Amino acid sequence: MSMPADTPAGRSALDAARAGDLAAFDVLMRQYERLVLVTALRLTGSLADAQDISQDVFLKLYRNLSKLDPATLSSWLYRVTVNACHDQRRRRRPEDPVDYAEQLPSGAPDAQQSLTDAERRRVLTLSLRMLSEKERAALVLRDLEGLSTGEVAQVLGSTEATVRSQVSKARVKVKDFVERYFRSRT
Amino acid sequence: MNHQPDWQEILRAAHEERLDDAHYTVVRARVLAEIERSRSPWRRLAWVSGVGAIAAALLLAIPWRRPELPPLPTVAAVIPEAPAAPLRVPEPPARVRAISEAPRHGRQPLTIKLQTSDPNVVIYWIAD
Repeated sequence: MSMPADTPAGRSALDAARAGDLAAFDVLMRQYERLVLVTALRLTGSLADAQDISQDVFLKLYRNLSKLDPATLSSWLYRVTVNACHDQRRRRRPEDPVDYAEQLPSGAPDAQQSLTDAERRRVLTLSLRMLSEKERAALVLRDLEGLSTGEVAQVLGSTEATVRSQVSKARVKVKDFVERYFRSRT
Repeated sequence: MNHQPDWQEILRAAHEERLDDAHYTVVRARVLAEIERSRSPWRRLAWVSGVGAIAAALLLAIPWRRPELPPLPTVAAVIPEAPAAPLRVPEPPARVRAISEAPRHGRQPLTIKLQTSDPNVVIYWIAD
């Protein structure tokens, strides 16, 4: 897990933010915004929801600045984000649509590539929806965020064996879904 | 469009995907605005004074506010009807019988005997 707050610059931003410096807190947010927003987006499938969750997570960070250890800040943020997504998902009615596929901007150079990216995002969104809450969190953290199995276990408050099992099941489901999806297209 | 990405490629592409900076900017702006709002002293002061004013108004209102008493129960007084008075035959006026005066030795009281309709009741009226 990369830990920007564990670097000297990150540590000084954290210290200044603890002292009430809002500009320093802005710097701190910039260091972690991708971690929080993208994880929330993968887990909820909605950019608007992910932004709401990110806002809550950063406000929580602000309120807990004095208690947090820079060495475990990333892990703490992942955990709070995952929990906030679970809470939000429980509040949301199951039939509510997710709009992730249409929201991500494409950095593709041409229309053909753009179409491919949009379809890829759509397939990813649909396949993530096939997973259980825990499987989705494990897969997102392990394969999309690139955390180690131990780090995922730490974030989810689980064991490495459980995480391995969840990730394995999730990969099989995603693989099956992707194959069926493209088979049905041809 | 002929290429069909497999699941690993999809995950890899998602891992490398980047969001527009504008999406992050929105979140940061909202967070900072929220913090500013919570830190702003005059807002806190306004909030506290507002609560104080409401509390004072409530305290002032309490003595003036009398508890509403429940309506008095209506008393249904039942006055029993007076029993019908028995029909009485008007009594004939008492007859006054003059009593023969005894020879007076000086001054003696005058006694008048009144007879009523009831033979058992006789009224003696002694007058000086």
